[in-house]
Amino acid sequence: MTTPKALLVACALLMGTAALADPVLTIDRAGLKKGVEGTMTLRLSNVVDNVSAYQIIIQFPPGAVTVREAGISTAASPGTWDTPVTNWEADKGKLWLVSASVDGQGNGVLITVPVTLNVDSLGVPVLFDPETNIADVAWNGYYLTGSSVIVNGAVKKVGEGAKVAAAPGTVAVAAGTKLYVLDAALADKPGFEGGKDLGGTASGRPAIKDGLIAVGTAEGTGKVYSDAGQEVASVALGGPVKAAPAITPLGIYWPVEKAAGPALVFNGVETPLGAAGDKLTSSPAVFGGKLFVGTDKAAKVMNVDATGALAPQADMAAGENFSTSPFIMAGGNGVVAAGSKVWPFVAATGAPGAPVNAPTALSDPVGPFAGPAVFGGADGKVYTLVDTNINGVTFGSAPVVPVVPGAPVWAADTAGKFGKVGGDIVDLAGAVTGGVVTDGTNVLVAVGDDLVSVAK
Amino acid sequence: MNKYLVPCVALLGLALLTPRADAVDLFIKARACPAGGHVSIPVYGTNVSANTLWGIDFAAVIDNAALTAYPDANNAFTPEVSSATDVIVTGNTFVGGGTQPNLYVGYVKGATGFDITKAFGLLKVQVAAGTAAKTVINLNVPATYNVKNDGTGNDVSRAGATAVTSTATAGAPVVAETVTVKADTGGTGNLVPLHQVAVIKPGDINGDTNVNANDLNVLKSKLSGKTIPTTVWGAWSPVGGDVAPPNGYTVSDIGGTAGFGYGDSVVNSNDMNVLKAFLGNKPGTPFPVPEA
Repeated sequence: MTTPKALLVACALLMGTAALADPVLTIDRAGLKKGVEGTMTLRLSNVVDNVSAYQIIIQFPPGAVTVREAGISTAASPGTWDTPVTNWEADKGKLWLVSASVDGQGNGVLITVPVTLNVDSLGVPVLFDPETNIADVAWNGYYLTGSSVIVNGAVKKVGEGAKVAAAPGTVAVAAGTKLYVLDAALADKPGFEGGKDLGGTASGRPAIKDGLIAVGTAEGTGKVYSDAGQEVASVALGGPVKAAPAITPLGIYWPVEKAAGPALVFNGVETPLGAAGDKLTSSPAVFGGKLFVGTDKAAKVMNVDATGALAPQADMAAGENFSTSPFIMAGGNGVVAAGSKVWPFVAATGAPGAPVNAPTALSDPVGPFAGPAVFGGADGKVYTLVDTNINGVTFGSAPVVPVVPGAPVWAADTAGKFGKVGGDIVDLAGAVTGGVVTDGTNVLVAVGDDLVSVAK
Repeated sequence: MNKYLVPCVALLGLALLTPRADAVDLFIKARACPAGGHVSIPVYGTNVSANTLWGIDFAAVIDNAALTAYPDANNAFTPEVSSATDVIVTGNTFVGGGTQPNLYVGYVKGATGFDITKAFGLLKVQVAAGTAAKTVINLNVPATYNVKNDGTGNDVSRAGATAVTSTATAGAPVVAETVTVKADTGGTGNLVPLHQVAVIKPGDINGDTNVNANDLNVLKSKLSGKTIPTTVWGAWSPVGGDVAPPNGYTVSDIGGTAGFGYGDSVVNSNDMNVLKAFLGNKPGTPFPVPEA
């Protein structure tokens, strides 16, 4: 399925391969719902010289949308733009927008268009007529042709606050009371048509491993499905599940926040992680014979025996408020963050190293399995930890949520900026809370009530 | 064409000369016309001594052989207000001897005289295929004229333009009057020179053969007082940019109150708005298109 939102996102991102002089036109339709007027935004940016005039023509599938032409507005900063000439040809589904800047100083344009979606999903790419044209004050003209802006991607409405996990070929999304399990094109996988009703509100990110998909609810139930859609288990856990469980060949470790305090529940056996009132702050990570999990009081280290049973050992950096899940690299070195403090540790022993201080609070660390670890920063930067050095690169202006590592690093901030660090970034114009994940081929981000997939 | 020649000269000659110190201002608008096309140029006059203008003729010396009169003489000049007794002579030849111009128009109202509130009509010319884009071709209408009209209908020669008025109907004395060929409309702002043909499409302000946001950019910059390279804003640009209708233009009255068809010979915000409306495919706004 190809849909405009992913298309917009991807169009801008892929246009990064073009010459820098090419302007970028991105369109965002985040949050559009069938039958309810929402806002579509068009943003013109990445111009070498200042844009002085534009003619934008957008072709919608006829009947798919209704545009309230009188509500179209333009803003730009800096610079002043004429009120755009607009023309909405409802029968053809064609929208025309034309304007010029008064003083040739308009560096970028933001156009907002009131749009009502008349169908569940546009389903067909938004086409830009080949006549689409933008001119800059150095007398250059640019054509934003269809081939330059139409790409493949997918979007699916899953509901607000979706928590997303991905593995090669499988995307699991917990949103509201539903668990969606999707293929790479965001279509329901066989056995998961329409999503699974969890019988409660999903409260943690799903986990995918070894042919199983597990997710917990705020009502204290752990749900486990096979990748064919069969319910394998429905476990009463005695408290809300706060994060993603850890799936192992021996069983599933569920992070549960009970009245008596946080605990891990494994095959019906409960391992306390603290006192009443302590908070679970992370998902557990299992590496070799150790399990690591964070609370707001300490990073807990457990020995794991051959049956999967846990035996606590001394806490790592007791007294710290561990705000993230741990990340363990192939070599056995792990990191976990407590606010702006990064604690390295040796996974084989649980022995911590000296903390490394970042200038801001950090998100969950991620990384290629061989490292280095990469974090999102609350200051809008993406941080990379190499040895004991942590360096930030500006990405957005709002806190950056967990990223997808690699070259480039993909990231999103809570304000809706999404894209490549050091590359093209688009504005999804919606809240992103869950970070970005990858199934290896695509990068996925939940924004508003949409799940967007873009080719990596 | 010759079938018109004799009655034209006869009508002129039938009138009796009564010298007067009156005059008429002659306006031949500038038009954009791509190579290989043809275009109708509005011709009109103001400051006529009385609303009894009876006939007008004028010649033009054209500085580029690519511009010629429309070969169909019957449609080379179309009166705005026509009557059955009109006599029209057009072509690349002219009546009588003297210095031969490239193009000649003789237009005599048979009985009613001109309605001076209207344009005289449309002079159709054509631009040869292959003419370089952005070429500006001048219709040089001499400001002096030479009339020898003894009322006999013979020996009429003109090397320039003239006009005749009469207080009488056909056959009454003919009065030759001074013709002032106007260089512009005398307005303010970015004036468009008169009697020119720019070899471009209407609206192609930068002359790159397309009408698009680049032209909008150039026009907006011009109106904002920005310095523009001559390769982008050249002699053809004002002609190509004068796309708005004159004031008073309506679909049912293309003469309007200040001109004829489109173009008021000043490039201003009206043209900007019309160009934007054209690029936005805005319904209800006329935009000049090359004639088929």
